[in-house]
Amino acid sequence: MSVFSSLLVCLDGSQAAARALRCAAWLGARLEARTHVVSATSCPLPVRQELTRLRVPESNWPQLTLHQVMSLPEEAILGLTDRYDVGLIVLSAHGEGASLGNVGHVARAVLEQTNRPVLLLPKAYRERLPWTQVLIPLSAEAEVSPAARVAVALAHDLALDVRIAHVLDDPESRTGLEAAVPYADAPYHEYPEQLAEIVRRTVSGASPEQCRRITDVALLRGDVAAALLREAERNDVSVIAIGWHGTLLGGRARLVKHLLSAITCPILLVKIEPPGPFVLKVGPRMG
Amino acid sequence: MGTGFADETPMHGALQAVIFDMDGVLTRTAELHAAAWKEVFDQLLRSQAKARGMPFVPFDADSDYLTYVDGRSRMDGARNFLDARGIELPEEAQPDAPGLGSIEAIAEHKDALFTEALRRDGARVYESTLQLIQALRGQAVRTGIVTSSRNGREVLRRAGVEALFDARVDGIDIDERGLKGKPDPDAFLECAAALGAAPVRIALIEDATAGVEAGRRGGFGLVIGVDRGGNREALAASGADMVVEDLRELDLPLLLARMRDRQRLMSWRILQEGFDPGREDDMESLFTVGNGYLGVRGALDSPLPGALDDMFIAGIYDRTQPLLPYSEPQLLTEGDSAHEELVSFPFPFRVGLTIGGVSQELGSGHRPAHCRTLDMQSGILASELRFELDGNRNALSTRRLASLVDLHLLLQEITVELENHSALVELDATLAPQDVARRFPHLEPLDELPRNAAFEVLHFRTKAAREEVVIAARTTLRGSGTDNLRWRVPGAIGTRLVFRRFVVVYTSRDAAHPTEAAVKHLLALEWGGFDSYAALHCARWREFWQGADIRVADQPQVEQALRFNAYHLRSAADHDPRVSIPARTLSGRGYQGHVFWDVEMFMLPFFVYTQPDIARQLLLYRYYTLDGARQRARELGFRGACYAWESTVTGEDVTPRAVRLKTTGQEIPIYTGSQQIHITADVAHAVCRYREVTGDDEFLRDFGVEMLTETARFWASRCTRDGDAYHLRGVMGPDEYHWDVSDNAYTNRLARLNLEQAALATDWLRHHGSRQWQQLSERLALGPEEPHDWRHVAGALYRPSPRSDRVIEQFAGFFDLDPYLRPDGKPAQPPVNKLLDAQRINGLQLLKQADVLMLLYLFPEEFPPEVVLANYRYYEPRTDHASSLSPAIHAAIAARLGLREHAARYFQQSLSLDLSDRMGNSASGVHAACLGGTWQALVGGFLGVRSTDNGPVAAADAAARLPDGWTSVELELAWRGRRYPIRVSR
Repeated sequence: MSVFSSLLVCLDGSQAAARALRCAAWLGARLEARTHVVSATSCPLPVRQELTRLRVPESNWPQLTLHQVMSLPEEAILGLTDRYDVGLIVLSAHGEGASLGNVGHVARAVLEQTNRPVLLLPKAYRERLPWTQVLIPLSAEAEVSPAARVAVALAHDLALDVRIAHVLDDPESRTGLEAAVPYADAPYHEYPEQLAEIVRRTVSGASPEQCRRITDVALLRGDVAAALLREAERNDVSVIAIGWHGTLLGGRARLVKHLLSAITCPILLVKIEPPGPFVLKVGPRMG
Repeated sequence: MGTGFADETPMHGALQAVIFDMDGVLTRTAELHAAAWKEVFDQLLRSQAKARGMPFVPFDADSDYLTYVDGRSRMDGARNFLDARGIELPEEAQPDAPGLGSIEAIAEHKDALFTEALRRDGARVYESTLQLIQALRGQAVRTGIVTSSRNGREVLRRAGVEALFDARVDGIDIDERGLKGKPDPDAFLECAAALGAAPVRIALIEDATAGVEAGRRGGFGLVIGVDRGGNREALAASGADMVVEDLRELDLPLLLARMRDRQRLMSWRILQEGFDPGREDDMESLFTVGNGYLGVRGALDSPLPGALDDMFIAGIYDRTQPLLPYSEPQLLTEGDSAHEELVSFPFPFRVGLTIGGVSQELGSGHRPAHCRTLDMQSGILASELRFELDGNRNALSTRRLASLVDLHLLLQEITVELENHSALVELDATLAPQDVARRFPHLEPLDELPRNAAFEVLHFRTKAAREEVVIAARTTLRGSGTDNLRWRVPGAIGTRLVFRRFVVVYTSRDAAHPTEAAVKHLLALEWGGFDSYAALHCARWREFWQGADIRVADQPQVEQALRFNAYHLRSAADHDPRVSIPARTLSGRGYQGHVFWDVEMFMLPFFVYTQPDIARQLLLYRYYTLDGARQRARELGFRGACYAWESTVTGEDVTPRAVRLKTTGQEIPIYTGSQQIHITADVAHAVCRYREVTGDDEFLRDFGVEMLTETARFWASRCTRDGDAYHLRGVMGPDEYHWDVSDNAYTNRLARLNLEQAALATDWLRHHGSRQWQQLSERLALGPEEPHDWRHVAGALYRPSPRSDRVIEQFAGFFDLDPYLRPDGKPAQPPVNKLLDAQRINGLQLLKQADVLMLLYLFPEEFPPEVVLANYRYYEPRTDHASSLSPAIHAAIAARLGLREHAARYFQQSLSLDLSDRMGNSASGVHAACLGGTWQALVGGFLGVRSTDNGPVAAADAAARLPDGWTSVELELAWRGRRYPIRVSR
């Protein structure tokens, strides 16, 4: 069974949405996933007519299920996602409606309210079908990345190469001895282990077969977003997978916003769930 | 200094504060709450029953209140009860659905009813609780109050008891601060922080199971349940240390006694509750069981995909396999050693359990309750999993150990309980791994024996070193009288099945025919003896602790951490002189299992003073690898023996020479192998210290003199003469940021010691073992002039003197490097990456770890305190402690100098390295040098223990050096065949 058994894409007749559909249709065909097309409309039309209005190529019609919903687009998307237990939402960051910055209001509402992975096509989206490579940024934080797990599973299903990028800390952000890496032992010996450990921890739960899609681990330096953008362009990456906390409020999701401003490949956004209860009863918590 | 492993405020020792729940513990408002809930729920239930045409089952103000609502926030309580009744309502009030159509509406209505009742009836308190609070405050014990109620402050005000609490957290605080409600411990931890006390120093008093659970999860030192009516068992089951009916049963002495009891128990345990996949690799290291012959990481009994569920066998190495197909940095080695990397073997405790067709493991979709406990006192790792799916509850508990008595033997017990249903129990106890080629790339499976349903034999050979390893196992179901590898047992409700497993491991280093040896050993074990095998193992651990335990009064966290360190040191070493302790013990893959100076300089002192027999074997490893050291010296163009910086079993050098970064092709040279030659003198130093403490002349005679002689020859040939002086050029000291330096102070001093002691040793042997002397001198072609030459070189070897400000130059030219500190004395920004910016660091006055300070630590009698202080003040701010070896040495020196804040800080960093919540790389194994270094910091630093003719004694000012909050330290040290108690108290 593939990682996504169903997809959902929202169309509003715009070019951007049409590109999202092409991407979704390709994914759906490769994953053998049911593909739902949502059209939020106040005036439903006969199916063929609506599909034509939405610029859906006839060749795609057999694999799609059209839903014409008389509600706000974001409500339609979220409602159908829950109703049909959709695995992945494919969305253009911009559609016909108003937008603020690099994310339209529909996309923003969906991103913030859904807990499903969202494949977001940025403003500068350049189509690269078929996909060949997914880029996964890693942090050194001790957290399992659901984005990495999903990306590795997707890569396995689509026979993509996985490229992992670890951006080394920016020295300008640190001050004093306290901020120095305290206990990272000899870089000569620990470094390979550190990287392997970061990768292992991040994709914890992925099967060995899935992990075999990882073909490269790159060390990058500098500003995280800029480094990832360069890496994505240099390697003509097909999609980048990011874990995030699910809000675009001021000051949050800086990496996502920065990437959206310039990246040309889709971003697979996966929300980070809070971990289950865990406590190691040592030190002050020994009781 | 804030909370940490060592508390600095001695408030009654164990107990600093008590936190009370409000409703039902302090105030008699539980009844008001229960009545309000009943009124609102009954109203809803009545209308639901009518709508559905079903009988009305009212809310029980006793049992339903206690089970679903008590202790929880209004919303949580409402949600909980409705879930139990199968009623689904939206969370938020709907404008088009007035009345009780949402969780929010129910909670608000209940609140209104309660507020009205409070206004009408007032808030009464339990007098006995009041008396207890007043008694505690009279003894300067701080008090706090926590309640989920948003009416908390109003209730306290109306009851007139606000002033009795130093800290309060109520429902309003919980909402405003985004804290999670009980059974999450957030609110209690918030209160603890406000009280300024660590949870382990706080007693918590609760009447709700959710509150008791929160207290346990928060790690509070004592959790007391108050049974106001019929939930004693539930409170105990939730984790209460004691349950009372009324607080008149409590007083301060009783609280203190119970808290100390619990702390005593917990200080022998490392306990994990819950599960976080992101931390699992770290946990596997911490929960390793081992006996020096082998080590098994603490992986789950059913390891998750990608788990590092390794078993390592001491001395079994093979050629390095690529870390991963995509390894970015590749370690490039000089030669092609067949003994380069510690080999990973299949996990010997693997269990596959299915109940009623449902897999019982953490990764199987449902989230079971999980708990893992390492009992350090007995060397046993226990695990508990409680599953519930579709109402069916099962429990799986296991215990495992690596026998300290029979080193080839592992024991495991697996208990399966069907709590409330009947089902088929299927246990797969086979060990044969899938995909050996990928998961165990060092191993070539050999399959000789025909398959046998009763026991399993895994036979491997390492591909390069050609060592054979056999793992053989049997499993039984207690009472069945048979052995089987796969079990299918129908279980009725309440069934409890106990499976037991023997696992035996042999290698071709133990027996010419390891398969035969393993099977014979396995089949000779008797199921009836299972408990006695375990008991013997536990007894051996108790013996160890009699000599190794350190008791620090009223500091249970410190005792816990010290025991953790000693546990892992002992688990990594035994009596095989062919092997030594890898840098990460047998608990992880870090450093490829290589042996460094870490053993001689950081771990050996612990063993010398607690397990001198093991210390001897560790030194014998260096004796038996002398040929490898001789080879190394020849390769470098010198005489005698030069120990490899990194070695495994043969003594050959396995230090990588470079790291290549795949993406850029950049090769970064590694200089440690060719230049960090101080290890040779470190070994010599260890020989001398061992002999000094143990008086083991036999060792010196049969092994030590030869080691000192050959290493002295190396130094004599390695030194470069320049005029009348000798120099050591092109070296690297303990500080690895600087290579190709000359006259590193540490290296020169240790080399001098090596030369001097070798001369003395040869004199001694001539007089105390003339036959051995003759044999040795013939075998080594030792000329009579050589000891004289060693003395001469030692005397002329360059010694950096302190300059006018008393600072000793770390190596020639160090003072001319680019400054690291700014003019204001504050550290500058460190370079971004020590790997990629190595060249820049080499020209900077930045140290990775103690170098000159290491010298001052080892030879306290040589340097007056003002010199030590000047060097500490100079080098400490220039050290970034990127090595785990560093903090302990700084702690020791700071303690000797009376720099209390520094000593406590560095000691805490070293003490909690692997156990702290900030672990960064313990997934690769525990840091063995740090474990030993911490012991040295305490014994050699704070206690200032030194050897005298009458045995080891603590420094005269040791009591004054103890960290704040410590009242006494007790331990035993072995010295010349006897044990000496050391007790230091304020």
